[in-house]
Amino acid sequence: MREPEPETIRRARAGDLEAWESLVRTYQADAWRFAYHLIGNRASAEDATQEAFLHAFRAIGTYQGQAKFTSWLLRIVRNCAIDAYRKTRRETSVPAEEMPGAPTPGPSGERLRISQAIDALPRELREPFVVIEVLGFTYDEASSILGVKLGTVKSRMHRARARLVRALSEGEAAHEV
Amino acid sequence: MRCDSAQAGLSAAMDDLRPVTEPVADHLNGCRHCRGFLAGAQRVRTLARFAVAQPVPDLVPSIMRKVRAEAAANPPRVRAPAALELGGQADYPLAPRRTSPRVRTVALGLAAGLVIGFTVTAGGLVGGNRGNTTALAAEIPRDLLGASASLSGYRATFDISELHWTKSVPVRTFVADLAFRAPEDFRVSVRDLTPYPSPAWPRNDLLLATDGRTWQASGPNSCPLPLLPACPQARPAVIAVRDRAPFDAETAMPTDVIVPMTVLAASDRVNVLGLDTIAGRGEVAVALAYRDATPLFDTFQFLGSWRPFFPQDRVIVWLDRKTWFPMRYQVFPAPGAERAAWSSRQGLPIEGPDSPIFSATARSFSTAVPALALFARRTPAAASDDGFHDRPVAAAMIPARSRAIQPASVRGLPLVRYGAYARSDSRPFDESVLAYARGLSWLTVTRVLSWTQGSPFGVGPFAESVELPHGGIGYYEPASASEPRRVALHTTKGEFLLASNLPRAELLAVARSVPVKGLPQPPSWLLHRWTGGYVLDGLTVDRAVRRAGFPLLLPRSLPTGYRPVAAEVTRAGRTNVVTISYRRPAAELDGVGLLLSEATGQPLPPATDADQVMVPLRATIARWSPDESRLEWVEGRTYVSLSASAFDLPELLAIAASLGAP
Repeated sequence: MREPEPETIRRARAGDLEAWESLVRTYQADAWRFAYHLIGNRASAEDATQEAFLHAFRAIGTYQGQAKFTSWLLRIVRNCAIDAYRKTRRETSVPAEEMPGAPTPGPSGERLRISQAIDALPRELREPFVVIEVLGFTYDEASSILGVKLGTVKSRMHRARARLVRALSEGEAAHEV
Repeated sequence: MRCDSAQAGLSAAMDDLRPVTEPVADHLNGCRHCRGFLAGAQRVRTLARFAVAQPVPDLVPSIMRKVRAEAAANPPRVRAPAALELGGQADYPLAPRRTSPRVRTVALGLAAGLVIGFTVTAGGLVGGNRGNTTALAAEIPRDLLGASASLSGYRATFDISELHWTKSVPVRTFVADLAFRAPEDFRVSVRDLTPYPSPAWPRNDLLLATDGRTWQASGPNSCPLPLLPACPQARPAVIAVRDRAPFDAETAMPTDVIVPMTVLAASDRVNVLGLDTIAGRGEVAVALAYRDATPLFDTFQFLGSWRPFFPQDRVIVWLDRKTWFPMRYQVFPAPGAERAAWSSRQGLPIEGPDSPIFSATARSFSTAVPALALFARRTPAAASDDGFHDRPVAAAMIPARSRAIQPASVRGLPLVRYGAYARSDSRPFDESVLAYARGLSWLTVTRVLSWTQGSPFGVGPFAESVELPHGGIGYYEPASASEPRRVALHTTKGEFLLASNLPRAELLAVARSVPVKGLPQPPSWLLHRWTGGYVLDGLTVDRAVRRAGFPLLLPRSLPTGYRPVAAEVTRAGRTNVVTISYRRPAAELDGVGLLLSEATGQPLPPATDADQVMVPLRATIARWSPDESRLEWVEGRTYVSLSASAFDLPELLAIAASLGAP
């Protein structure tokens, strides 16, 4: 994820809503994807993303540039996504096509399997995988976003990857049978 | 080298974009299994980057709507260090300092000039005749109801003073003219009389007018203080609506300033300070927290830029004992360190608890009915269409010509409007509305047919179950800052929503008289599954305790008026979460009240805010997030959080300290 221009951050911190809208426009997709992978529901991911940007707006005055803006933002998204499990919200039954793990239009069997396998990962493994593999953060940045040590990120990332490789190969074996 | 070590090295090398180390490369050359792992990992990478690319919704408009509302409600203030770093100036220095002589003079003037007959001290308001204040507190909600129903018209002019908006403009003054004609004509105009340093400063000249079917608000948008005085986004805005439904909550009439039906709706929030006679009129002084008084401020602050208040700041309202109109109200800063820290974060100066920081005083009022012409306004062509179409009221009386099902008891309120919304993509169901009103009291009965959503119409998942006749059930929500009190009924004859500014008991009496049987929500409305788990809501606390799967802690002491209303259980992976909602019955202006969440397998999430602090609690350390009003900690194997936007840290600590086994 590309970092915003310092001038945009400066204006956003000064309360310039146009600058803030530019940040929202730039990062809403990644924020939503991250939330979606953690929650597994489109509507809840939307709620969490909106909540996260609102929290970030309230807290932008405290962002001093000690971490990357994107890491800071995704840490808030993560907290809001976790909150989505336990906060007031109106969940409706999720149509099958909205389930994480459901294929994008015209998926190959492999893509379907990998999506389902990612979704089946426990959260502590799914989080680093999505942050690093899908969103493209480094281990250091993932450590900051997830609030765990660098070694933990590496170990979890490897465990996630190993599980996915195994899921893929098991799927292939089943397919061949 | 073992395969698992080699594969860990391969995995790290993939992410760090570094070549693999020599030992790993050696192992790879001789290990078919690890070469398979590497190929698989690369395949996973390729597939994941495509397969997980779900279509992303455009959230920019909805996020920015919320952000703008937030900015309007709490204009962001840059803290001093940030302002210095930005090369600008903070509104006020962070370091404690004495109030400037000019501000001090005005504050003293306000206190002396407006608090006639009372002396406000740090300990409270003393003076006049305290009388039997307990009995009076119990009477006030009922008296307000009577006053509200008997009012046909009203005009008043208020003088308003506000301190500490910015360093350059420490005092602002306004005059507000209000007019009301029952049932739905309302007009308020705010004229800004402040002598600003230059014409470049945006003025809070505002207008809100409605005749029931149209609604219009105009004035400058909120301006972030660091941008002042040049503020491009503070250009005057006009928000206009036509084909408005009766008593629509999204385009509300902020009438609590006429009779405070929401603010003083229940005796649990009426703290009578004393009685007095001022200028020949009997008055009663009532104190309440700002968090419970916000509708009094909505009347004047629907647009424009205003200073923020702390939720526990004290609002003292002087009510005319004959009419129950608020003749004046003032805000006094709450005492204590929490308030001082908040003030510092907001960039405000030191504000002592004895001097008012906001005052609104009625200069004149009359109950003569204003002329209709006062409310007439041309609706702009760009007005948004709410899609509500009135039908003759008489049609509602003829069952063959209407879908109306009327309650047997509407507490003496006559039917004033009847109609239905046009079906549209955003409203793909039939929604008809009956509206009853007398004076300022009103009630709407909405009936919805072809409802396809898996939840009751018009209330949330923490609505309180209330018993209705013949084994029926309804779902009640107290008033919030944006919604009136509501009862939803799920019936075989459609969904019903009763909404009103009547007291809770009156509204429930109406709900009991609707000639339908309220049914429990279908199980599919309560259980919401997704691939990661499920949420089961609409539970009582007892049922939540039984379903939790781990020992819960419940509060043995709650603030006055609070009680449990509903709970939900969430299961996500190995984590079980129980959330219990506590609210007061008449009004919970933030719409949430107090939420207690407990979870297994959930560590304390990482800190996100420099203002978060750790506090000792229950033989452990808890984290307090002031911006979110959340106290959270891990106790044994259970994560516990208490959140309530209207509470401060001492209040939440007291509740937390009382937690124990049920």
